[in-house]
Amino acid sequence: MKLDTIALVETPEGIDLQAELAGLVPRTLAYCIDFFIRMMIMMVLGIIFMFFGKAGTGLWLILIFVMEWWYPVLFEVFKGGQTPGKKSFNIKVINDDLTPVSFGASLIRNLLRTADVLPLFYVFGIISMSSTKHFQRLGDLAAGTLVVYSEPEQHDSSAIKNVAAIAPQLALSEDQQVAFVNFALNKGRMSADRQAEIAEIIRPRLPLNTSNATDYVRGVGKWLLGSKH
Amino acid sequence: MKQLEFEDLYSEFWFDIETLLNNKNKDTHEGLAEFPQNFRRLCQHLAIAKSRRYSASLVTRLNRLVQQGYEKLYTESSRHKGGILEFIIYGFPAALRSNKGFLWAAAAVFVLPFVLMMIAVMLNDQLIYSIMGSGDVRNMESMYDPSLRKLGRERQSDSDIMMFGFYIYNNIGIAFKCFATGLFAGVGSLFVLAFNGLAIGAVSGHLTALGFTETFYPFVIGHGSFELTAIVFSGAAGLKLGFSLLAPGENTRLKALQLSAKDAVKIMYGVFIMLLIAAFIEAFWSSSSTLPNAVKYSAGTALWVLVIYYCFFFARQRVTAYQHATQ
Amino acid sequence: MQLSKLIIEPRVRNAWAAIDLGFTLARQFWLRGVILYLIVAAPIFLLSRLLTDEAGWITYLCLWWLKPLFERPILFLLSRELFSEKMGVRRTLSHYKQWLLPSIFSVLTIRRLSTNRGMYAPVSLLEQPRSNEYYKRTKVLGYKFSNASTWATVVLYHVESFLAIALLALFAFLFPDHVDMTLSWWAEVSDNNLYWDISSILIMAVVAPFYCASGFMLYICRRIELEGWDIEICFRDWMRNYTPSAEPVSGGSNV
Repeated sequence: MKLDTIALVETPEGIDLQAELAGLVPRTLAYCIDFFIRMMIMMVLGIIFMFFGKAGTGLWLILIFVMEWWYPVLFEVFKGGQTPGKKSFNIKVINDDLTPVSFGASLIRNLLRTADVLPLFYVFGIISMSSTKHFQRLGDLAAGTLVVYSEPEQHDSSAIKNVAAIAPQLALSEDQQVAFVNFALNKGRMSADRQAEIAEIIRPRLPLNTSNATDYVRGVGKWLLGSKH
Repeated sequence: MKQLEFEDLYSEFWFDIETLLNNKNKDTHEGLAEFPQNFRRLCQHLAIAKSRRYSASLVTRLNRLVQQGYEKLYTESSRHKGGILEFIIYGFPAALRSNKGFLWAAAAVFVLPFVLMMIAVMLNDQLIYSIMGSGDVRNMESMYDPSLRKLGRERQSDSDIMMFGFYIYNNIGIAFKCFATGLFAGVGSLFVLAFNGLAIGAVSGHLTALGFTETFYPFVIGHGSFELTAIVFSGAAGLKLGFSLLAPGENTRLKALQLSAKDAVKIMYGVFIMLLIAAFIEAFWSSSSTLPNAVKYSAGTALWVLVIYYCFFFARQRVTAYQHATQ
Repeated sequence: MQLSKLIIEPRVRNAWAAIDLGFTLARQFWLRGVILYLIVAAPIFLLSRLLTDEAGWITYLCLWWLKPLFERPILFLLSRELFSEKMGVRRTLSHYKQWLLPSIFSVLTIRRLSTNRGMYAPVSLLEQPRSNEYYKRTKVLGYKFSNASTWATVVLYHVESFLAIALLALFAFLFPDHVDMTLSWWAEVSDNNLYWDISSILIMAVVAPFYCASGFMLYICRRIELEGWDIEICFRDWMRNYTPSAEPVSGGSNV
């Protein structure tokens, strides 16, 4: 089993689903953004509430309460598991069976923040996130929640605009199909030399009259992406 | 079967599912009844497409549909567990009654220090300073000193709102922390419960010894019914968390923790609602100085009876039935 | 370098996921990393302590400045283990020439203050380019990734400080009589205090494997992208089962 950061779940229907787990660094930064947003809201509304005397102070205290305890819960439950900070890092909270986070689980993980914060600066949370397999802080462990990257970005197909699709004459496994597609999309911006080098590896498998292995592999990749011409 | 035939045959079915899944309008229940069935069919299609090595784009599309469908299916089923009203009538009492052991333990850890400290402070008036600073003690004394009360003048409503905000921020925060720190083998909850018991006991003892009874007790009796019980409940929920780690039983520690948290959080919903009510009573009723004490005492007693009755005796059979149904 | 022996899943990842993978890798080799770090850092620390008895801050500056040096054996170990080559603590130490010498002078001078230190450390150690090639190389590697790499440095630096402060708070909580949180006490700490010395070097050692591994995975994931490792591995696996007698144009298409 190779090392990876994937959470796998088998549905009752026997289908494997997976999600890519998000770890300490992006989560910390997302938290910082949320923290900043909360501070700004409290400051701006605090200034407005100053004009309402004691009643304003009361409203401000309620606002602090809401920002401290309910801000993450409300966003996670009603905005698809994403607080604004998480959204900016393209991560979201989900239940550990990969369903959208439930209200109860979100409340548990956010109430238990109190435990993660201890003794200072989220140190327990940091230790927990670094040492558990699924990067869970204490609140996540108790609530049974994960933080994962949301849907991968749509692929950029500009690399195959001028390539002619070629129907493969071979039976390709899923992994091989993915390799052809990735080659065609040139996800990593490989150099032309490197592309040729890789394509030449499978030269014996290609039809005998293939002149340019790179073009052939890219063409098949394009065809596999669903383009028939 | 060739891929193209396969696609031709089922594309309409997939399209229907796609529209259903992308339908943001939550009111339409069209097609929801057959959804579980259709979802299983979709899963079969994905399995077929994979095993016959159909093209990556088709597999990706089906995969995405299955993922969305899975989310939809299992969110629907978990969401359908009754609304807030059902929770208040049956859910919360059921959650409390199935955790009696923790409630007794939490109550003991709160009440014993309370009573002992109260007696101790009444016997030795210096003891209060072990809990509070002298400034705080003076403040508290002047708050309840009957000779300083401006009788008949109502406190202004804007300071009522201020105190309402303060009670929400402070008391609910304490209850939430009392619950959360139970994660450390219950130690945090025990500490919060015992400390609050000591502090409130000391204040009560001190004010009783000074003879400020006719200002202090009418003030606290009303909201106390909701506030003190809610603090004990939150402690019980925290103890439940901690206990699951100490004695996980047949489950792994992690599984035991998750199960207990799921149950304990139901208590916390109720605690939240109770403390909102308590804050409201404390800010707008308890503080009123125009109401005669007799009214406050009788209303306060009625609230205590009501809370205890609701939590532990109300609709016994139906709550028990609910308990069994949801387990 | 045999790609088939990689112990990580060779996928194309974004920079954040690469850092996360680094954490998974660090967990695997954490204890060995900590030990290696301490073996290299502790003697240097002691020595500078003895030489600069009066001014404690110089020791700490040394300790901080030499971090890239202390991290090198960990990085060396990771770079071998990544391709399934078993590297114990002793074995790593015995290869000291390979991890100590390459570009060490530039690493401790002009390359020391880069915020991408973690991600570019493998370039200095494993590729050992000349200085002008180094800048070209890091520019290519850093494209799209240098932002996340900088943030990894910032976050882990803070994690280190938070751990130190939290440890102090824990001490203060457990032994309230021995610790008073006043300025004079802080001054004493920074001057000469055995507990403080030991705990700071321990904290640095505990965090270092995570920082090394994150940087290393940023570097590796970028190379997976640039060089199509995932595709190469797949194609080579495919060819392994290939017997030239079979017709290249197979009739087994299902399409």
